[in-house]
Amino acid sequence: MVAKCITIQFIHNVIMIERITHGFAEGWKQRKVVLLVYFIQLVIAVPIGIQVYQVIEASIGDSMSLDIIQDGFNRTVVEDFLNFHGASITPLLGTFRYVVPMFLVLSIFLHAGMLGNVIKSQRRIADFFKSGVKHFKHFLIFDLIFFLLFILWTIIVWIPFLIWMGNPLEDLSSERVLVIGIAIAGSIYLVGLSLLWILTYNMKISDIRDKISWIKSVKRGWGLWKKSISSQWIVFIIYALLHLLAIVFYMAITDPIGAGSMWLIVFVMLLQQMFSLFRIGLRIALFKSLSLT
Amino acid sequence: MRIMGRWVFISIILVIFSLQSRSQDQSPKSDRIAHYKMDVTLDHDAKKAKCRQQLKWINKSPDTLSEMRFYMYLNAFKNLETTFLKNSRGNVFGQDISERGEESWGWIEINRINSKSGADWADGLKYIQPNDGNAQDQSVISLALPEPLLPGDTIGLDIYFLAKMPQIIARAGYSKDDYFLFVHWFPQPGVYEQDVNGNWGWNCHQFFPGTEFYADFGVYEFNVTVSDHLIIGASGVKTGELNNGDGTKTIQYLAEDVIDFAWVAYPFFEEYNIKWNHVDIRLLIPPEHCMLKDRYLTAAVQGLEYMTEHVGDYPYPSLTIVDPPLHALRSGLMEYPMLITCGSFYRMPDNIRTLESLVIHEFVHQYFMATVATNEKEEAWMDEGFVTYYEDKIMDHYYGENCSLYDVLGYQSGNSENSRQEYTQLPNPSIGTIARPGWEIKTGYKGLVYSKTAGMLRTIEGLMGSDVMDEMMQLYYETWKFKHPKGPDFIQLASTFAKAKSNLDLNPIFEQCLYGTELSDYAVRSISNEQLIRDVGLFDDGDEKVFKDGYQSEMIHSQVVCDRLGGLVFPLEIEITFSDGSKITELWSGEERRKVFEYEGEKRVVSAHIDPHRKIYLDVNFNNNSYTLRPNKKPMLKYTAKAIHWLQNVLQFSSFIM
Repeated sequence: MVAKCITIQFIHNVIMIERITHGFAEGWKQRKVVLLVYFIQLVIAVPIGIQVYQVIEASIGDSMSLDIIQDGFNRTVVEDFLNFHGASITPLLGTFRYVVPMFLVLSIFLHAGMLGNVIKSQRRIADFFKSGVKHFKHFLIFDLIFFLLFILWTIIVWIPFLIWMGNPLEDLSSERVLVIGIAIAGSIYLVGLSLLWILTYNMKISDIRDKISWIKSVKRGWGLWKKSISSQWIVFIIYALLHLLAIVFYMAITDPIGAGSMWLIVFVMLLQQMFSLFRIGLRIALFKSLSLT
Repeated sequence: MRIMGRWVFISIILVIFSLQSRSQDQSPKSDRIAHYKMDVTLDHDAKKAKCRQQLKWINKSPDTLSEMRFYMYLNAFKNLETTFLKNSRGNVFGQDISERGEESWGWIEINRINSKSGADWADGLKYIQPNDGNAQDQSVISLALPEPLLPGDTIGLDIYFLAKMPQIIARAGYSKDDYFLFVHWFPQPGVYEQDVNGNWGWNCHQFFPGTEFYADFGVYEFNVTVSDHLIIGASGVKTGELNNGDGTKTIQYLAEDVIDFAWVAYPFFEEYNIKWNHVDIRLLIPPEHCMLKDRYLTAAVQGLEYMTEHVGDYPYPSLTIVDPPLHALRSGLMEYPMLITCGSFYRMPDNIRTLESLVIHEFVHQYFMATVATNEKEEAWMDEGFVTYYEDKIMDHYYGENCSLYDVLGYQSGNSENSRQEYTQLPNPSIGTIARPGWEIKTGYKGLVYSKTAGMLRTIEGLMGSDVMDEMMQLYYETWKFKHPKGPDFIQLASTFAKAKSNLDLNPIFEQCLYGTELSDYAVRSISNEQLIRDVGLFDDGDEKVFKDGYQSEMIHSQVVCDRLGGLVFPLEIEITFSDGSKITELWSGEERRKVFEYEGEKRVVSAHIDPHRKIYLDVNFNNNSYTLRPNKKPMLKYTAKAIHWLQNVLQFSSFIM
């Protein structure tokens, strides 16, 4: 019996590892798509970055305070800048305010393209665009469903929590309860969100695989979700942890480097861009690994 | 026998010495105008304390008194019409007082007030409102004395009063689980003193938000009977504890040479004690905060060490630190003689040091407020401003100038930086003067009273040097400890000292900073270098005039233009750097609105830096203090790359959820 359990566990682990390796292999195979998505993001980000440069140059560009922030954050320099030149970053924030929502809509198209290529094992950019156009409308509906469920889930978790919490400064005997409560409610909330995300993902792959109406995709996605929720969730968590590891690794490398010389700045910039690329690749790998469950 | 006799002689000598040293130790540090003997019984269910207060008060003035005035500050929490709550607009520390039920209000009433002979003088009591005439305010009471109190005479009063604690408002009050903080809880005489014009009278203001302390030094003998489940902390030294055998205990405290007396009760306090030199440090902390005990005690020791070395000896034998539980947090962040209340949070990260900052701030009040007993109501800058100055210095000294307050994921702030920003970030830092009564400062209180004063002191330190500043503050402390200095007393002492020691005239600085509203902002406006053309024009050559069309010389004319953008004037240093790396330091009185420095030579000026060592800490914008013709592009590129990457991350994250 024990041997059987161990064998099953072993097979399970092997399958899981296989799914992850397949995912990473797909991420590499889809490198053209990864690069395309990366460049789209870069094209949006660079003009704003240039504006940041111009704002700094016009406001404190001639000041020797810049030497102080060369190696790291300095509150006095930053706050004095904001006190006297805060208005100059208002247009930047304004740009940001419409760029992000616009990119969210664009993301629906990008996701449809990426998923289409991953599910149908296509590699071409033309297929990416075709899939993006074809599934855009349905994906928009699925994302709206996700958005509604997200709001509902937020209400379900946090409203009872807030009622339970009351006025912590008067009602709670100790904030330890509060901290533990936030940790538990937060964990439940995140688990729920990840499950909702996987549900939407299943709707999307059903739509691509079966070419059916969006209602049927929702139903099939639901069925698929019920069938493979545990294994999909484990895959999702593994990727989340990998992502976290990548962030820690990235910070550990870039934080101590500073900006002592131009070469170091260029080196850090390259690392930043590689990290951005890696994250897009990781997303495609996740799509693939989930589709194998 | 001879040996015996010698031992007897030595013993007698030792006893004499010991008595002498004892009497020296116990000699009063202050004038001890008031002497309280309090017998208190706490009914924790009813939230009431019944008290008999035997008060002896000496008339040290040359006047014969027919009236005494007492603070009855607990009455500030009686209803929404009191001066305190009207000025708070019913909202104290974010809590809406207007929705409170009957049990949540607090008050104090004198039931009986007997003279030494036993006569009841209660008929002579009358609430008065010397500041605003608000008839609903009962925070000051006047006692008409049936017998005049002659100069030098002592009056003895036997006061029976009942104090009903409110649910915590502005520190005083009760909270869940039998937590109590008793502050401003007893009838306390105001100060009979000379005003700035030399006239004697009562200084006994009504209770306004943010203005709490001003009273005579005295001795408090405090006996409290409480349920035996309560743990008590108080100003002073514990002198006894008696179990009454009926579920209650009586605890005795003695506090000498203090201006106030506060005490706390809570059943769940954990207690930690350490001794630092002559000081017994006692920490009362709820169980859920116990992991922070070392941080509390370390901060207290750091405060003691620093202040002892740089200002003077801590004059009291004990210090009790109270960390309130979450539900009583509104009783935290406050100072009372020998007792301070702080605030912390379960598992507060080590790199967020608001806990240490608070302990140090409240501790330094033991020097500026408790010992150098300034009038917080009229001149809050003299305690909060001084305390913030030392809080900044101590925090930065022990935890690093740029990261003493927090250091989280690369985002750092020093305590001084934080204080400075509280002033410079005010919507209008010129909103008003700081040397005025607290009730006149409606907005920007912290930025002006705490931070601008601290900035002024740091600026003076910058101009005089740290060692000289220490000497000056030591002199101030030694001269005025256990007294009531006024603003002009400090100004006179500091100005005289600075003139003698550094030939620095501090009067204009005090005048501008304390009584003016101007800002300090110096800027380098421009740097220019122009190659000189020589020998152009007509030149005498014997009897003739010869025209020369000139030549481009090697000589360069350089100009550095500096502006005074603010109204405050300080003497300044300007560091000029030339193209060969050499530097010179120019001195500028800082008076002119524009000052141009000109140079002629073979070197170009490449940068100029006003006040490179940031001595003028009141300057509201350090970024414009310098100008360089060789701007450092690296940080600009670095932050541009960061901005791009940050935006990519935002896009990446937001697109992931789609």
